[in-house]
Amino acid sequence: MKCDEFTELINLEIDGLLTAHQTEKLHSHLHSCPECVAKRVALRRASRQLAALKAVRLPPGFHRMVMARIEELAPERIAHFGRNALIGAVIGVLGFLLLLLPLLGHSSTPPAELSVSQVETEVESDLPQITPAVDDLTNASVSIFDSVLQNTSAVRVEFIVGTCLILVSMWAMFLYLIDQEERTAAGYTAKDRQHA
Amino acid sequence: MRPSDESLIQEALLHREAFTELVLRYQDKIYNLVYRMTGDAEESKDLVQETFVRAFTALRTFQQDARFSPWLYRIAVNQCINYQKRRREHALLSEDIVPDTNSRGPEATAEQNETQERVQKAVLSLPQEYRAVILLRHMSELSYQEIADTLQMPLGTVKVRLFRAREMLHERLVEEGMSE
Repeated sequence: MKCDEFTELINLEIDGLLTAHQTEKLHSHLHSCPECVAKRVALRRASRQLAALKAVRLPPGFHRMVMARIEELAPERIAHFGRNALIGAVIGVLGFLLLLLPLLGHSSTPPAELSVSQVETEVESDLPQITPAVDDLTNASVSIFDSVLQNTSAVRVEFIVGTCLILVSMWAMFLYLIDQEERTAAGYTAKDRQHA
Repeated sequence: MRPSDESLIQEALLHREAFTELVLRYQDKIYNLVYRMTGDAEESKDLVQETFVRAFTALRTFQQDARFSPWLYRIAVNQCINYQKRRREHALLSEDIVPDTNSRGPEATAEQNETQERVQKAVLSLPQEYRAVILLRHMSELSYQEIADTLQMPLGTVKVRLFRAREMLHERLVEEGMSE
């Protein structure tokens, strides 16, 4: 083994991590290597001098200053959660309005029904020309069907988007309430709100 | 029985008063490390305070299977590194490079011990990455693995840096006339 490799053993010895076998190996090397002996003395002395540095202590009540700083953070966080709750509420209202839209649309006469009555009037007035009228009726039925289909898919999209928005809003509210509960238990709330 | 750090963290997430116990438990250890890292007693107090504030705000992100003390020491070491960086930038801007040991607080003046002053000066002259390792070992008495966890480096790197730091410290102490 070279001297460099014994440097590791010297360091491990300083840290009290040498095994019995390693100790024996190091000591037998030290008997024949004055350089390693000098290094061992030097490293041990440096470590001792470092460890002998006096411990410094914080003034009494320092922890109260730390906790006061932490207290100061609370209003900011509450304001942050309050803002999130507001955004959640706005999303919820938007979702609700989207769900209401189709209902508001049905309150007036649907365009599909208008088409039916127009077609019926046309058919009655043009009774002699039955064949063309039947063709017209067929075309009108197809357009009514398309219109209903379009309306249905639009309603479906509105319904899905609206429901999603309401669910997102409910989740935001849920998180807000959970956090508020934790805060109430932790003693944030009234005093912090005054600060906020 | 004394509650564990991890159970205090759980408690502190619900009742912030529980964090006081963690502050009391670690404040002097962190202060000693930070003071020896920076050499500035007054600045160290601010850094210790900042360390605990940052730890508290990041408590929700703390992984429960990890140990609290290496995590806290890591925040403290990062605070010291940032502080040194700010100092260097400030010194470069003002072209007024003042040695760390010149900024003394009440603790430093109370030391009134030349030996202590010289050792502190030798420690401060070590490159930061070596200083952190040797202080975590000898001041904070962390194991190799704990130092590796704290500084997020491989165990082998910790050993290499620690052994080299001791040699460098010895060289600096010789320069200070403290050793042969």
